Amino acid sequence: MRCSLRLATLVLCSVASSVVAQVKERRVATSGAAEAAEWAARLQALADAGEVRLTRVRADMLLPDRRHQRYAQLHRGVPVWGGELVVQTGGQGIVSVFGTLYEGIDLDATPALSPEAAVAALRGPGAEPFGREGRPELVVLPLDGRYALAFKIRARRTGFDIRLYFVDARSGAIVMDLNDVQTQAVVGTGTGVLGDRKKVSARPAGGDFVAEDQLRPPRIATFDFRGDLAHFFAVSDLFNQDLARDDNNTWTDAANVDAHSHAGYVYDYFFKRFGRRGLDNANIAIRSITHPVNREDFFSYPDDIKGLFFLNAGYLGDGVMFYGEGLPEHLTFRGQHWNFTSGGLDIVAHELTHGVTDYSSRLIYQNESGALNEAFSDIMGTSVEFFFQPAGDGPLHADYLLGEDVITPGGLRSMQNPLAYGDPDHYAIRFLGSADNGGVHTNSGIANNAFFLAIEGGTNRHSRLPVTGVGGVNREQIEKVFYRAFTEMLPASANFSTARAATIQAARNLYGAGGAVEAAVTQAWNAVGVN
Amino acid sequence: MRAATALVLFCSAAPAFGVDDPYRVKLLLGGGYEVGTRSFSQTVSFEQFAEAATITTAYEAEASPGFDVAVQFNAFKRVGFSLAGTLYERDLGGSFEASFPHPLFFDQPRAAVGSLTGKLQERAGHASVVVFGHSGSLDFSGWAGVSLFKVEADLLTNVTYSHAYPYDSVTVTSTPVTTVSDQPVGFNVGGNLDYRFSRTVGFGIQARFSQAKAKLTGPNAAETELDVGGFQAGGGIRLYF
Repeated sequence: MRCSLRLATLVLCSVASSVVAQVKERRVATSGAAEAAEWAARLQALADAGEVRLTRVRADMLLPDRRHQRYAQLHRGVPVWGGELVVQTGGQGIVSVFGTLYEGIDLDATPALSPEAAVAALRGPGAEPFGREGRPELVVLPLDGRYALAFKIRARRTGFDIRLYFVDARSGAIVMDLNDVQTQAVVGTGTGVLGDRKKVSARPAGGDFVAEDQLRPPRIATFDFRGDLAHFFAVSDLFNQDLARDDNNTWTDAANVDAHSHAGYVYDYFFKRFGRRGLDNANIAIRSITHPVNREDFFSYPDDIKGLFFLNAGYLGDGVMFYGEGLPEHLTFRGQHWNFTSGGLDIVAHELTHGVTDYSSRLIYQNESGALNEAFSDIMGTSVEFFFQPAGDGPLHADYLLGEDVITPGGLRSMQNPLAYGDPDHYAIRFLGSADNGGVHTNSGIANNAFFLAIEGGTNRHSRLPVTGVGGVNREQIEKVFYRAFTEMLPASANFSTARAATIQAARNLYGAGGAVEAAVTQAWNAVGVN
Repeated sequence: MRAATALVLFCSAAPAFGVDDPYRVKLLLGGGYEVGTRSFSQTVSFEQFAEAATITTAYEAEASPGFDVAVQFNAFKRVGFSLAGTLYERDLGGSFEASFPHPLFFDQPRAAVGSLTGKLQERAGHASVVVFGHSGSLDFSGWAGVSLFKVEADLLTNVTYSHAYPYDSVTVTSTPVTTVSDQPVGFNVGGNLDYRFSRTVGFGIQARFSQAKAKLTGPNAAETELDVGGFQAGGGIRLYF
């Protein structure tokens, strides 16, 4: 209390004499009765001197006799950015005062620049005024130990890159810019399907928090259908009312936590590794659907629903994914337990990569092109694992198995040894039937094994041909080769031979002809019998 | 400290002079120099993005000139008392190392470093017992007593930064400071040697050592202790009444 009184005194002193060069930020925090009584007079004095202005009065929603007033700090009529007092009043007058006041402002409040010229200054970073706050507002900006007279303009560069720009009102230079999208964001925590703690980028909504990521450039949202399959079938689009929700931002629904955070991780991987901005490279929204059914209702559904919404995950197009519920704990399917499929980072990455393919090569989902489509999703799924997780065996470790963290034991497929899962690892033993669109989930093993061998090296089990891989530390090279070939070079009807040629070409483009990367890729395709 | 103590002992042992020209009150007006730099540090932790952010700031205050005024009352033949006030304002430089959590991932902090400037102001009142003497036109004294300091220091309040996706680094945008204070009690010892031009005016030099331990409470209730005062040497006009 003693300290606050001294601060208050200094605040009053500054009204009379404010000629100090350096920024002085005074925090006000007073709640004692005596101090509160003094503040009534001080506020009045500050208001009379034109140092503060009442900007908002709101009734307290919890205590009927209380009101909350906000006072903006002014310097010669110009708002001081960040300078504000929040005053709680009750029947006996002021109850508390909290806020920040800046002292020692010695600044001519007349701008040399017109508001129009300030807007023109945003052309440098390619930004345009955006929304209601896009109108230039003159402010006093505490900045780097000094005060600057600046125009504050909310502006957008691209997509959701919305910022608060501060343009010096004398020089026209942009002296500060802040990401203004993230001010809407809140970061919570959650526990994933495997018990791992992670951050959840959310948005406050109506006293709760909803799973809508405001930090990454695209809209990444997770919709929880709470087991209401009829509702899932009935809706024509995804609406905010179905957004996954948590009341305290400590998220406990593991399927929602992982669907939401893993979608963000996959976006991060494509951005950091390849510079790609989401599925369409233009930040299309990524929307995930969880709990289309309830695990406990497993026996009440027909087999086609069980196969789709319990034992699967899928990409529905337009950036929409759904994640299967898994099985009740006491049940197994073909000897395997199924957890929430969103818990598998490689599964989420696999599904989202279908979106990348959808917006790039559009590999036809049938026969060899379909197998390449599936293989590319497996390749990127595994690559995302290695990007975020340490290599090794067991949960939350990166390996060449698909879905092994949530489909236990063993997962669905192996890139290292497709034969162990009944999938071919060589072109000569490829599936030639019509089931599964011509074996798209089977023949993917051929390209998967080529990718594995190009990185890790080794010998193909069928051909016995050896491959000298680039090594795990250089996996980025093979990832880039396959990404470049599969997104930029392959036609929709590509076959394995086309994929071989395109990846070799990509290796030459990226790392030079005749180099170790080209050799590894060429040897890998040779080993799996693709010429 | 040892020098100041020796000066006190010397003055105490000195014979009485100036019996023919006594004075009751001496006014000392002058300035001095507080030598030596002063270093301290402060670490502030707070939660950000569901993790702990930390800002550690190392401060160093430069030696500085200051003002020194005193009035001495001679109550007895060789003994009196004095009240003195000193004001020293040091330039306070600081460098900080900050660690800000990543908004999207645990255990991937972003580092930031920077510097700031401020002031460390020490105002002190000293109440002392004085032992004095004369030798012709020379007037000398030594003293010891208590000191009440008021210390004000500009401490880093926060480090504001901007960041953009993918948020792997931050750009520091401002380092606001706030002035915090404390009023510790300490001690002072010292002595002076004056030359009297006339019955009422003289010139003198003096040395004082004072010390107290201040506790400064910064943002987020982070506390740091620092020694204030120190060795001050100076001189000025003396007026005798």
